[in-house]
Amino acid sequence: MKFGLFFELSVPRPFTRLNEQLAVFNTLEQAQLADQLGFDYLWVVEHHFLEEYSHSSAPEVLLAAIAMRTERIRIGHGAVVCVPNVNHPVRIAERTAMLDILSKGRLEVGTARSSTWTELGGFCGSPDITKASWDEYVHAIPQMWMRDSFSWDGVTFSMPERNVIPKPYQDPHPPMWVAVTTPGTEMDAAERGMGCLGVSANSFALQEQTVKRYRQAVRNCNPVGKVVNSQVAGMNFMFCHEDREHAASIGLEMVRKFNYLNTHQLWSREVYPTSSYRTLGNLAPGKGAKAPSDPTEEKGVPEGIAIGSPEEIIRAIKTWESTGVDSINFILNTVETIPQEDLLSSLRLFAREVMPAFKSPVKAAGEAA
Amino acid sequence: MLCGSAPIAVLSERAVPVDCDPSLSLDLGTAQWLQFSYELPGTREELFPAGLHPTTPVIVTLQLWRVAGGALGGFGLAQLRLSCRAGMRIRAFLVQSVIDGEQAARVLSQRYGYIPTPGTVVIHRRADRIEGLVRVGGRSVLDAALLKPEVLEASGLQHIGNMNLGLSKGVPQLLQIEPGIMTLGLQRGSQQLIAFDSGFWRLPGRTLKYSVIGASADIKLAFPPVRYVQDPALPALVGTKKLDSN
Repeated sequence: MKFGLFFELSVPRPFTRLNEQLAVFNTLEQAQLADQLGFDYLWVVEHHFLEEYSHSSAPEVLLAAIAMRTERIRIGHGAVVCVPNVNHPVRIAERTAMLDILSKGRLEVGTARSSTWTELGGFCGSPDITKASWDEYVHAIPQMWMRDSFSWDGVTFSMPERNVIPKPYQDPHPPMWVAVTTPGTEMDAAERGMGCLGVSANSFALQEQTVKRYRQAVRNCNPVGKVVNSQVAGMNFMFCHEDREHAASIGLEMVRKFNYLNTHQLWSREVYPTSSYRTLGNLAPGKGAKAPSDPTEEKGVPEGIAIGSPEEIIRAIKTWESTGVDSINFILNTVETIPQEDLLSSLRLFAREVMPAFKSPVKAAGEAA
Repeated sequence: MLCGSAPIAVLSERAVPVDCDPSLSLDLGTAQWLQFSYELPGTREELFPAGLHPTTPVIVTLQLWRVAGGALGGFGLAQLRLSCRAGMRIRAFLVQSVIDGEQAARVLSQRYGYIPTPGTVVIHRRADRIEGLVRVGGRSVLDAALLKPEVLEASGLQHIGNMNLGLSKGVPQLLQIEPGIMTLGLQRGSQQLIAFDSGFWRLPGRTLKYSVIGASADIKLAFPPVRYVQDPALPALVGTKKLDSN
């Protein structure tokens, strides 16, 4: 089991310059500590206009800063929006290659298509074409990374022959992932030989089904690049403290705020009749569940959440491990609910008490060598 | 966190007296449904009570119904709503409505909190467009068209329920309105706004220049009883009350 962090850059109101700067520099400090403590991944999301929820609109810049302050942790662009109005595919290939060079081959490239009207509408993008553009991008970008001469005649973008430079540090190219929010998207990842990057909290049962479907399908994949990434990553929240009640009171407040802010966004399907988005992304009720009418029914805290004492968190992660996921990425904070010192202590405690329970002796020996 | 800031007393001036009967439902039969959607520029908090929080951005939906028959007979309804959330759920806050039909105006107002402004609501299907026209007191308060409609599968449309502000025994309450709507056929297209009286629709001085999309549907419509009401001054998670159906 590998462990990673998921950075949303959530900023509390009122939006002062200082609040935003604090969130950014706190993130940098957390990233540095995570690198030292032995976390395997850190991911920075790409979102636009999602006030409070995520001010991470230029993740490639933040990742560059992180790359220069860390040595071993793998850095994830998680996930870059593959929609023409937001990012041209050439710019994605160029920026990710540069990031891979700066990090000396530590880049992981997540891909997504965006699901909110808040974002797509802000760029005058059409929800109808995002699936098609994402599919074209994930096929085109590895070619841009690998070939000295690239051209494309597609539906959502076309370009004449050019050499897209620089080329990535990793040869042939960095591992690619798909952000998986709703059931079914894992098949899009598997069929293309891309990793399944979970970005919403699933139940154990749903996660197990997702992993099973993915593992079966990825065996017969038609990879978009030269490297098959067959990893499955889950998402979770984390706050680790010796006092379980203290951990629960602070950690669950963070989760509650995250879920609440999640609802401030306007999902494409809610305003734009389209067949392109069949579910509501993070807001979708679980498979087979009916959306509750009672507004007092808060979106529940997912089972197996990594909030509590080290022993409780070990138990939760053991269950996640049994579902077959290869790694778990943790959200650490929302609107700075958890003070930075407490958060750093939580990371240290997790590394000291929880991580050793998931390091196999063989792997540890290999790492030591 | 973002939430409404409009004084409840000011909003209540437009609220209608309601007497929700939690045991009564209405089957309204088939209807034509036409919707024009625009992003609303400008400040948003002042448009909502504290119990609702605006979405980012706020979407104005101008929705027209022509109901063929059913429990209230034939009638038309036009409504302007603003997208928001009550707790975790997407809702549309009713700002103004016009009801074309005496019985429908009385029942939808008393039981569901719709504002019974008398007027005419017309939906015209033309060869290359679907026109929506709302007239009040002899003047057009809305004249809009859905252009070159294209057919879409019915599942592509998500209907959003209302939060209507009513006065229950003189006390303002948000009624959670959840019509049962079955989409039988759906069309979508660009939209043209020919006339929009922002004063009548209670958005004085606001312009609707950021178009989202227009849509038209054939629907089957039913109104179950109101099951939940909310104190407009409190967040949904603490201010919501379930109505007793006994």
